[in-house]
Amino acid sequence: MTGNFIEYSNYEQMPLHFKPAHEIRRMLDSKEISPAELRAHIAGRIKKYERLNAFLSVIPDAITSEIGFVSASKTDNAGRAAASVPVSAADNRYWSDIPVALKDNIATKGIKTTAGSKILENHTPIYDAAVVKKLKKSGAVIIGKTNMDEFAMGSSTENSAFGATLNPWDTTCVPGGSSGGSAVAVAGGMAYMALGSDTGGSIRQPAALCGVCGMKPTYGRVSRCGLIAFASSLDQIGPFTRDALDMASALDAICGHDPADSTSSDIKFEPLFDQIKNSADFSKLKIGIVDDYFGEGVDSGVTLQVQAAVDQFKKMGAEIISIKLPHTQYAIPVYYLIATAEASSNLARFDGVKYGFRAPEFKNLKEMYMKTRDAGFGAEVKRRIILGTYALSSGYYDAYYKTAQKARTKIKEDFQAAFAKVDLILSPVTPATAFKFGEKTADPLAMYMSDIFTISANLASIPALSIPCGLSDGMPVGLQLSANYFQEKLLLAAAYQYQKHTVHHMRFAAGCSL
Amino acid sequence: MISKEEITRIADLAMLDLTDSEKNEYAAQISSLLDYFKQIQSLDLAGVEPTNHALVADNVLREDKAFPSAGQKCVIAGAPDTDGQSYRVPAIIETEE
Repeated sequence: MTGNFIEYSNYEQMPLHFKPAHEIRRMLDSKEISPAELRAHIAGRIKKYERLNAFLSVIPDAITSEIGFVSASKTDNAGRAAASVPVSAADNRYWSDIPVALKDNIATKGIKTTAGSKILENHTPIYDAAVVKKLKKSGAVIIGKTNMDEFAMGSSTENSAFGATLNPWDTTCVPGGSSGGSAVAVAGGMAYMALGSDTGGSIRQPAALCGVCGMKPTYGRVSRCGLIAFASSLDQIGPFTRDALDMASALDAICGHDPADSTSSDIKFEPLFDQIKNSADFSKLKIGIVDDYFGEGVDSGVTLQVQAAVDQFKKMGAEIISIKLPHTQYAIPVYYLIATAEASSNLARFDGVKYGFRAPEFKNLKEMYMKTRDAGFGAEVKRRIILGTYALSSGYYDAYYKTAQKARTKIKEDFQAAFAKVDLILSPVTPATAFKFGEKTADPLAMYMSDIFTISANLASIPALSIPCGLSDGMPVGLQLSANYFQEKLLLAAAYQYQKHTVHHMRFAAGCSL
Repeated sequence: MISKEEITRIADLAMLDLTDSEKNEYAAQISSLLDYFKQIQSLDLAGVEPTNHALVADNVLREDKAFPSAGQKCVIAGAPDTDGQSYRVPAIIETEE
């Protein structure tokens, strides 16, 4: 399929809904557009492309209110966990009046938050997640909550209890997952930025499949307070944006230490937006590539585009160095044993007592728990709870869970050895472009394999970024850059320079252009 | 191969009331996943420390100080069944008939 995209050569050419947030910021500041016009335009887009099923709920007040739904509330009047949002340099008003979207596993006070699950169908949180408080402080207009695989378990958004999200580039294909709705909101011109969560690639994989930028920051960079937990040692919130500059301003708004999340890092976060334009000196930059990631099992169209990106970085002066990550071939089993074990524990709280759904008929307390959970959870969630419970159960704990934790140490050490030699690691995000609906639903392992290049970053806790690097048969291909702990600036500076020399991020799905 | 009985036992630990067809499906799927996952058991991991968290090493402590929190009514507002003050659940101690 060709001719399914539109390429713009500058921001002026772009329709309002495809412009990057930094261009929208300029237009708002120079009064070329009013906040009300902007909100109305985006609300119209969401309505027009409702069939893509990117949103689970749209916040009507965000569209009609004079001031914008969330920018109106300057202080958190509940006073709960008031200490959880420290004042930092990142607390500017950059996102003021700009429509953004949130994955539906991020708690929003007074607004339904379902995690894509029937068991939380009517769940309305009583507090805002730390990232929501921060976005409100930055003035962002939270326009809606996006669709996702149930409890973020999946790679296609087909596991949502509320129907799958469609890929705007080809509506017979999946958008990726689990943050598929957030990826489509940004790719389809329905939000200027969206937050997702990434446990094994749930931001980077849908970003790649939908042709937008997606980033998993270093574990602990962004507070998980208010993120409905899947696998706590791997989960990290991150943004979807149109380009590297918007990624920097999104991270500036959400990063930073939070005393309410004990795993949040207290290493000082320096705002990135002003820094990334000038900081990459490619004459000294060393980029590592793993030869195995370009061979068997990777579609030739993907290899071709990622190889072209390698050549582009070479042209810009980077030195390309061949590296080895010998234990990453074990990443899939290690990840699926650890993640499901953690999930089986995290999801124990959904028992029909405190919130959400309760089965209508039962004889006693145990039956109430069991029937509620069987009816409330979808097939993939139950499959993972069973797998995780098995891996943790007496007699199998050492053979599976503990062995996986030890192998995780080896994977972590592989990256530390690699980053002693190189600054960045470059790879494909996925072995293939977006697949068809139903193609992998019957075979869990085939579905899990679509995460093969992304999950190691979660196991090692390092930051990783997906950016568009071309098309294969008309479908977007993603380029993954990873760096050592807390090297977000280096990642984004490299991506910024790459995007200055390339047009891939200026391409949009023709089906959503009008 | 994991048997259906084994899946029943695990489902009971996980508080899932699986149907018969779910048990058969999961037994087959989880067996083949574990067959694939077994490859990690061939790694030489003698003396390797397990990783719980790749970056978090220490417990985080704070001063023992009270913070305001949401009120009782607010906390139970989203529950499926309450008496206005507490969560309501089926009786735990069964009475003899």
